[in-house]
Amino acid sequence: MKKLYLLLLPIILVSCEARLDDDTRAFFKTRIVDSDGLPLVNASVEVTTYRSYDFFLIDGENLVKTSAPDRDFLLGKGTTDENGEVSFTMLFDTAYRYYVHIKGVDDSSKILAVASDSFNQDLTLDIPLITMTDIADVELEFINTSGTTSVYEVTVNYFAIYCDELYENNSFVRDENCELEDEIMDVVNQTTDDGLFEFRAFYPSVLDVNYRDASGNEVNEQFTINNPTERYEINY
Amino acid sequence: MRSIINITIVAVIALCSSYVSGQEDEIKAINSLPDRVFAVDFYLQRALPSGDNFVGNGLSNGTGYGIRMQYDIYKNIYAGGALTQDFFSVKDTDAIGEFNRATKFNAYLFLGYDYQLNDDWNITADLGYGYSQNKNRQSTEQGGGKFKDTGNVFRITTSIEYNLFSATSLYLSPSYESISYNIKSAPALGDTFDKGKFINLALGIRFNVRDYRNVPLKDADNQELIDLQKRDRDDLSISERRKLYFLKKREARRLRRERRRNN
Repeated sequence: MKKLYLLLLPIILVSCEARLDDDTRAFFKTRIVDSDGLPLVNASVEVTTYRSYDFFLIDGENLVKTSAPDRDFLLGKGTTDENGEVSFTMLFDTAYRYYVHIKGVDDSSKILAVASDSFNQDLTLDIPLITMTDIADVELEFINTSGTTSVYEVTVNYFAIYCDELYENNSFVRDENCELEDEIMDVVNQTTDDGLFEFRAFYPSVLDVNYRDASGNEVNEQFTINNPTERYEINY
Repeated sequence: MRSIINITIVAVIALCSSYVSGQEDEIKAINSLPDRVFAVDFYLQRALPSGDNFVGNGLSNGTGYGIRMQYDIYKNIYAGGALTQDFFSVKDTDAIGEFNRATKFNAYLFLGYDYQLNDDWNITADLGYGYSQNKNRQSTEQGGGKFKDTGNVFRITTSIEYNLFSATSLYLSPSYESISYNIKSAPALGDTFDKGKFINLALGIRFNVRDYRNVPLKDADNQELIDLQKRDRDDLSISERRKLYFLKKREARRLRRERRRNN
C-alpha cells in the first residue's frame, strides 16, 4: 500500500491545484437592512465558497494537505449604498453551499449560508432582502405555581449563535446541520432549582418551547425574541 | 448565379496573382537581396487591453513575448504559426472578477504578404486566427483559486523591418487582437464578457532563410564555380551545391554593398 501511495504522490501534487469554474461569471444582488428595518449603509459584503482541503480519496480515507487553506475562495465583494443595496460580478465555483459575509460599519456582522440551488439557471444570485440579526441574552424560567410533583420533559428550540441561517428555495431557514446545537433537551421539576435556562440567540427569531408531563400531556408555546435581553416565564 | 460568382472569384484571383507577380518582378529589379523563403521571429511586446469590455476595463497594460514561424507559399504570400504569452495584473475586480493576475496565451495560424521596399526595409501584414486562453489566478488573500477564460483570437499583425544582414533583421510590429470568449455570464452583466480587445506593440528579431538560387555570379569569380553554375543543378553533388550556395550568398552581399555605396 505504501508503494501505491508513493506512486500516487505526483498525481496528488498535480491534482491539488485549487480550481474555480472556467469560463463563468455570476452576478450577486441583494438589499440589507438592520433589525429595525433601516438600510445598512456602507456595509462590506463578500461571497465565498467553502474551499476543501480534502483532495483525494483512497480506501475511504481522506488525504489532506498538511495545513488548512488560508481562506475560502472569495468569489466577489462589494459595499452597500445608501439604500442598503449591493450588487457585483462574481466568479463561480460549482459547490454545495455559498456564504454571504456581511460586516457593518457599526461592527455588526452576519454570515448567511446560501444553498447552491438558490442560483438561478442564469447564474444570478438575487436575495431580495437580508435582515441583520443581533444577539440576545435569553432567560426562560419554568415556575411551579400549581404545586405539581410531575417531572416535565422540556425541549427548547432556538436560533443559536453558532448556527448558520440558510437561504434556500427563496426563504430563510435555520441550517439543518445545526439540529442538535440549537436545541435544549432537559427535565424540570426534578429538583427545586432546575427550571431556569439561560442561552444566547440571534434575534429577531422565534423560540419554540415544548414540555410534556409524565402522563403525556404536551404543551407547545412560541415566543418572539425582539430585544437584546428577553425573559420568558412559563407557569405550570 | 453561382457560375457568375465563380467566374468573378477566378477573375479576382487572376488579377491578384498578376498584380503580385508584377510586384515581384518590379521588386527584383530594384533589389539585390534574394527572396525570403522562411523566417522565424522572437519578440517582446507590450499588450494594451482596450475597449469597453472586461479586459479593457479590468486589466492593466501587460508585457509578453512570442515566437512566429512563416513560410513563403506563393511569391511574397506567406503562411505560418505563432505562439504568444502576455502577463497582466488586474486593475479593477468589479469589472473582471475577484482575481489579481492573468496570463494570456495565444496559438494561431496566419496568412500574410511580405513587401520588400528596398534592400534595407520590408513591411509585412498578416491575418491570423486561433485559440486564446487567459489563465487567471487569485492572490492568497482571495483564496488562491485558478481558472481559465478561453476563446478564439482574430489578429491583424503588421511589421516594419530593417535588414541588418541578409539573414537577420529587426522589426517593430503593431498588431490588433479581437478575442471572442466562451464565457457564460449572468444576463445582468450584459455583453461585457463576450469580447476582449488588445493593441500590441512588439519589438523583435527575425532570422531569414533566403533563396539564393537565382543570384547571378560575376565572371571574375572562381572559374570552377562558374562552371558549376552552368551545369544542371540535379547533377551536382551535395558539397558542390553547398559551394554554389555560399558563393551566391557572398555575391548577393557584395551586390547589396555596392548598391548602398552608389546610393
